[in-house]
Amino acid sequence: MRIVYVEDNEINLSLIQRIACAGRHLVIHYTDGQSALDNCANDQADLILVDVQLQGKLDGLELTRHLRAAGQQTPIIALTAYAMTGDRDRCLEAGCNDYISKPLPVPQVVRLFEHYASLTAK
Amino acid sequence: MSVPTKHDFATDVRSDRLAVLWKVTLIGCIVLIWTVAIVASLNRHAEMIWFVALAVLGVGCIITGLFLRYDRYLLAVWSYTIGGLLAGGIALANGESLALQVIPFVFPIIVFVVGLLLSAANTFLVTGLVAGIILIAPTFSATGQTQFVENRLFALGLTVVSALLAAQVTGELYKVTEWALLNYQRERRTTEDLFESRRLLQKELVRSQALSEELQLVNQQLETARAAAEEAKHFRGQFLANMSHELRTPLNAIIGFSETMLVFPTMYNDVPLPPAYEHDLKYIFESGKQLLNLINDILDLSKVDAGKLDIRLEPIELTPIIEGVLSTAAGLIGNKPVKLHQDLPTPLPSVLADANRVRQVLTNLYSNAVKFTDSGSITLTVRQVDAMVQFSVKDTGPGIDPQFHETIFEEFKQAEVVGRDPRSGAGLGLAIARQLLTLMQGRIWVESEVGKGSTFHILLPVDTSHPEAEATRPVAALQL
Repeated sequence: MRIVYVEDNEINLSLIQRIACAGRHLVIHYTDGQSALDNCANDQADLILVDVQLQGKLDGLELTRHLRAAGQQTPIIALTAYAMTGDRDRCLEAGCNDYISKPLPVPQVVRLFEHYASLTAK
Repeated sequence: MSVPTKHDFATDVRSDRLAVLWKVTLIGCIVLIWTVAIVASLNRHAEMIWFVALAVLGVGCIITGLFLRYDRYLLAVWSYTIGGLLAGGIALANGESLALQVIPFVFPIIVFVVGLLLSAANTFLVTGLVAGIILIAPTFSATGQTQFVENRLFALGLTVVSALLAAQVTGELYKVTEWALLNYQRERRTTEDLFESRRLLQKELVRSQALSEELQLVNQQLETARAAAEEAKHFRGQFLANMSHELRTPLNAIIGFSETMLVFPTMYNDVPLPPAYEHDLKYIFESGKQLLNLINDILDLSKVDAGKLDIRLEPIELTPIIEGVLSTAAGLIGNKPVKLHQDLPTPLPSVLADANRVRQVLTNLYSNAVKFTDSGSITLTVRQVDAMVQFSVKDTGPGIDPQFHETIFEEFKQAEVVGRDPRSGAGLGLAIARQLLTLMQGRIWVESEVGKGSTFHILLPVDTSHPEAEATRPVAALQL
């Protein structure tokens, strides 16, 4: 499975890469929203992970809106370190399929990858 | 303002009277001088004595006027009296026949008029003087000694009578004055009372005005303080939200990597961890989780403070919640000789609450019980009491002194209660539990005695919409 991950923190990226390697998934990485928006149409991603607090003009939710507006059908999961009331609703509203708060619950992420990988296999 | 005495008041009245009198007399005097002058020019022999007498009278009047101007009333009266008497005396002393016939009859008038202006004693003194003048003045001339003697005696009688009359009238005047004064004083007292009341009222008014101003000031200060507190609260909330975010990012790496290393060796090509590494890594993982719980607790409290905590009251099934909590508790106990017991009704009642929050509170109670119980058991009892469901978590730990039964539900007070017990946490769990129970229209309290363990009770409202909702699932499934 090809996973696009938009994240400006190297350590977080490396954790997702570590989890992904268990399922032999490929992680394509972007550090800002604009480059992700420009390029990810060519990545043939099976799953897109976006960090909500991205540096630069496009934050994760803005990026999701643009991707959806551009016709992107791939499932998008928001990752955020904010755990405040209403965050989940905002993510879903922007067009995300799901929401996971940091610190990431590793078993849950593993199951999530397995789930989307099985969808891709079909 | 002083109240005038009786004397002052009478003197005022008399002064007014005398003021009119001397002017009238002076005008009469001038008219008479003119008349005498005309008569004298017609008869072609001047009677100088008339001019002298009238001039003396006129001067007396003018002196009276001067004294009155300087408020010397008694001197003014006496000037007027002496002026009149001297003028009469001079006219009599000349011995002219007209004077001898007319002047004696002028004296009773003078005495009467003066009698109204003087006291009774002074009036009789003036009468004495008049008697002297009538009897002695004519003897200075040859004609006066013999002619019109009976006229003079009659005039003398009249003078005495007019003196008596004047004294009588003066007495009346005094009575009237006294009456008027009495009325005046009564009136004055009433007025003064009124003034006093008005003054007091004014004072009261000023005081109440000052009070209201003070109140307004205090209100303003209160409002400022409230706004400041509100702002501080807002900043605190914002600060906590930011702190939470900043702490979660490094925790993501700490918890995430320790978990991948411990639980998912496939992520590291199945290279096994040396046992010592694995042992220490577990501590990193557990500590990271503890830190995360603490952050979540602080965040919860700040949400409660800001009124932003999401509580969804809905009918919830207790079975999965209790199962989850018990399995967590079993994990927490680890190798300690502590047994978990349950005493649950069949079927389990359904409650109206927020499932996540009920789980949070029960987990907290179990985590405390496990923390403080070194050996023995932890027992969960669930009972329906009227419209509420009561959960009781009873442990065999050290117990809590009754003086702390309320304090433990206050923020950051656990340390105060248990001192330096290494098992104590930040003391937020029970504070949050109480806040959550309040938001869910429930209640939490503790029963405990030192040395006899503790029992924490929770009340939650029963869900009346689905009375048989839980009947389908046997409680035996809960036995762990």
